[in-house]
Amino acid sequence: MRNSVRTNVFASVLIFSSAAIVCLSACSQKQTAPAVRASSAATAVDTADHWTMFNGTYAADRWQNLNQINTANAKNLKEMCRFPTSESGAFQAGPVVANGIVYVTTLNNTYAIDGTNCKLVWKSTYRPVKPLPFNTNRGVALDDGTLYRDTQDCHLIALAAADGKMLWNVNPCDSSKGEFLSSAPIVWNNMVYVGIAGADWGARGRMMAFDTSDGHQIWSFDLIPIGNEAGSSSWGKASTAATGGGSTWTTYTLDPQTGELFVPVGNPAPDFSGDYRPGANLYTCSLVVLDAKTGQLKWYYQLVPHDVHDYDLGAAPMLITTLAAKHLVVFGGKNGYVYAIDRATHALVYKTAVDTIQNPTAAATVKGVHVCPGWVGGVEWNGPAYARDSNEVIVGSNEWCGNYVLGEARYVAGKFFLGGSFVPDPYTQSHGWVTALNADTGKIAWQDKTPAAVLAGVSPTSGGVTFTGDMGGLFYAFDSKSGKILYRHKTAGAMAGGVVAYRRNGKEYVVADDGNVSRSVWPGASGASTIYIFSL
Amino acid sequence: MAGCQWCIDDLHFFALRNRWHALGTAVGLTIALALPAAAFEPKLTSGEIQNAEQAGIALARAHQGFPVARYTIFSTPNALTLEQGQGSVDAIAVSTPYQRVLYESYLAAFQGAAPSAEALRRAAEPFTLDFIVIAHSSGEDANEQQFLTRFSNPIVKIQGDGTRRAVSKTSFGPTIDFFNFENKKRVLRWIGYDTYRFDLHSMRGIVSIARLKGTFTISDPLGHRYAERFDLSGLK
Repeated sequence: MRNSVRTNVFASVLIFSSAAIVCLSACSQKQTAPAVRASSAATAVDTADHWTMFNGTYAADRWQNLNQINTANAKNLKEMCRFPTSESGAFQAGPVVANGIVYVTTLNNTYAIDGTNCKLVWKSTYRPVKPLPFNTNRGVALDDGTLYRDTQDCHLIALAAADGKMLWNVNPCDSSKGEFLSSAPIVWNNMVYVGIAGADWGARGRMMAFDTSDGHQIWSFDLIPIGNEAGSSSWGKASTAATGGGSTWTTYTLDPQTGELFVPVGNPAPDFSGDYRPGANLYTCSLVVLDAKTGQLKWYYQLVPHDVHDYDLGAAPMLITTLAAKHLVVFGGKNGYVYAIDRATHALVYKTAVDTIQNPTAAATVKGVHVCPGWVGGVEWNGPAYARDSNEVIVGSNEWCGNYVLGEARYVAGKFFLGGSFVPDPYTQSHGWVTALNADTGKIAWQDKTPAAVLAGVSPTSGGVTFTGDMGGLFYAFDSKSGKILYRHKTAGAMAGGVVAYRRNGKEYVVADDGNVSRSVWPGASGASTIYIFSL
Repeated sequence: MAGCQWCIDDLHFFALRNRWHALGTAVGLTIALALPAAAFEPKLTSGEIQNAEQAGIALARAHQGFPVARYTIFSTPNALTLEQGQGSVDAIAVSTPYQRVLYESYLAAFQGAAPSAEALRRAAEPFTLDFIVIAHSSGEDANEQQFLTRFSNPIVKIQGDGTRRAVSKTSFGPTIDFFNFENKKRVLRWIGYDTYRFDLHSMRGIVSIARLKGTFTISDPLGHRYAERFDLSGLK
């Protein structure tokens, strides 16, 4: 044990030394590289050189107009380099890329890595000042030379993209109550958008906007309405709304033309004890659409009224225009379905199961009831992507069923507030899916069963290739049209973070998170947090 | 009974109770609730079964958890934290026929139902004693999901009598929860419990059965041996 500690200290010294040296090149690079605006990425179809937010663009369809790696040569992909963070915590962040620099986060660290050779440019460490309810961070937003990220102890911070120095730091929530921030913010119109997580601890969610200049809060919207707020009557026992959950914990989607901010909202609390909180429990398990400028509610769609299975809408939706010119908002829930809603009428266009569905409305009992998907099932924090050339919605999912067992619900600030438990089936029975749907009809075009859950980002390109990874550590390149696996590479850990294709100096790369993606629920998801970069 | 340090810490109570209720087991720790007059009954009369059923319904209505503090013979000082080299067992509780009927009734009443005849029959089975071992896995790997199968040698030594081996074992779980590891980081562990039943029929003739004392021993998957004394003289 002592030896390993000494080794780690030694390694840290090396890392910091090299960071200081490499920073010189990064700083000089800033002088020549153009400042990348998130807004420019949003309106441009081609994001090949810059991926400035978790899902690439405000529309979040994850499409990349890159074809150097294509169906003919994807089999020749190789691991070009890797960057070990030497951390063992959860690693689910979505990398952001600009000017060849990859920005990625872990629980408390932010890294800038050269996207062509995996060399560390700088590392910035945040030192928490309050309790950390959970262990995850999902990344940064980049806008005009500034990175925005949040922390488990409820801080939103701005860092200089050039060297990682902190520019400002605000504290909009209280982690001692189980509230925390884990989502990757987005930036638009000089505002940073982020919301509160912690439903499983009984936190009451809210969505917020902050000024990019100094972090002061501009508006806040309660995702669990109380008092005279619209939707409060959906809580049959008004007192339970105060600890009613409704967190938002991945990232967000925005339409710059309409000013609509799309917020995915998670489960009600307590998770499994529905009798404790009668009613539909708005706006839990919903897509909430706000006016991005004011925070006023525009409309919402609830996937699961009165959820008792922790069926969050976790992942942010995507905004697409299909081959048949349908304007849709498409999203996948932990309940195992992909939904498409008409942007104009807000009517459901289709709803397609991408997982096994069993007893979807069965409430937990004291003896247990078997339900699919389970607590960690369906579509998790990485949502569907849109392959524009084949007009397909492509999504990864997790199939791991189990028994929901009812227990007594009792709120204690800062502790799990589940009202029962989930007893999963043996892990060996779990697996994953990659599913492609016709974007106009929702009909399944192809579906691949993978040996482990597919929770990683799904990234289709104009090369006809879709990149993703699974919890068993396999990195994949699929043929977007047929689902055929063109390339598969076993990494050292599990894959469930971001997977992003980008271009630098005319060459196409793919960066992917690898390692222990979640110590929270997935056994065997081990390995030190490591960035992998692939290319031809 | 062994020291129950968490009985003096309300918050810790609730946390433990949340966890153990999450397991669906009989380990709420409310000491404020009045417990029945203590006298171990190896064989319940129909009136006593009825009394236990009514008491279970009252407990469910009270929403104050299910009291087992007095039935707990072992517990770790803090069931939410882990230390290097610590064993797998979080707590061990003894369960008498009365306590078992009480729990079956509580569970059923929690959902507005009555316990099934079969559940009551098994709970009230005379001249049997249960030991509930609440434990966590030593790691978070996939094969740790089977950790409950790796406990071994559950034995009861009865003072003035002999040694008995368990006649049956039932398991609950495992499910998943966090622990604070040495207050440095949060770690995932599988948690669940085994219930071991021991047959006391051969003791029928012993007058002192109502004040039965002994030791329950078991080995966890890492080889830690637990030997915990129990004394039923103060329990129903």
